[in-house]
Amino acid sequence: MTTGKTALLVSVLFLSAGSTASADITPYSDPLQLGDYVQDLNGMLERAFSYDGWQLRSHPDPDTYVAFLSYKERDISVHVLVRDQNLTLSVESVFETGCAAPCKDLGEESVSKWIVNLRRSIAVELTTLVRDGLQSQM
Amino acid sequence: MKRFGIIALLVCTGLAMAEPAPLVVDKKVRKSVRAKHIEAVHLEIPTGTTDLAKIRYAIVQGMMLTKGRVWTYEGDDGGSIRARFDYRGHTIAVRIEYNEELVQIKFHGGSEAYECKIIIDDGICYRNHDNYYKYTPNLRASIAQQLEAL
Repeated sequence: MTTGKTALLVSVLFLSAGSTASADITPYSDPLQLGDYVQDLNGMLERAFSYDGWQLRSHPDPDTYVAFLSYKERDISVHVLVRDQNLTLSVESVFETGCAAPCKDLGEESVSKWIVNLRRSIAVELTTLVRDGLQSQM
Repeated sequence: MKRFGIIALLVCTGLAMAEPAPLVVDKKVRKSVRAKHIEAVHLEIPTGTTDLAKIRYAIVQGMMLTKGRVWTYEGDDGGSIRARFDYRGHTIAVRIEYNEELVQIKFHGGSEAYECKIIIDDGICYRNHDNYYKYTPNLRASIAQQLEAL
């Protein structure tokens, strides 16, 4: 195969991949792009966390915040990492607490659902800030 | 090799500059949903203004005022705003592409049940879960309403 044909084939493959591929979507690990819209990150997180009873806790790393939830005999800690104007969630720990007998099995899905809701709460607050920021630019 | 470089550059440029374009539904695509469902999501919306700041505002305001449930802001890639819809354990993600003339919703990704089975023209989804064609038209209608109100 000539160089020209090879180049064309590679280009067509690349183009077809780009035109049909879709992004991988994860339940809560995809980054949120904050841009220049968030002036008071603590305030935004506190409002978002209050929707479902999450607490904002500090972390030694200044780029990291901790969301803590004690619910249905589980203590859940989620790291909220803010770096390069992107916000990303990751689960730090899930502990069972205070069950007299073995804790009722909630399944992975319940805990995952709570963290999806946490991410969505942050995203709703961010959307409001973006909307207000865009309005002020008009 | 020089030719390869030029072709690759053209391809990359083309992908990076994805823009809204008038929708012409290809009715010959096999196993596609009906054209009216595709149009309800992906039909281009005339902006009615060339002011990009106003257009961006109308898009995000439209996301927030969508009937039923807010679409959340995920980021702005310069020419498109990414929006997401989390509901009952499922997710739909779209890119809302815009320029001075048109706004158009493109499929970006989805959780397992909402992965697009047939994507054409870099984001026009010809086959997906029924609910994709139920929830996403509300977003399109809301953005159209906000653009009209500018």
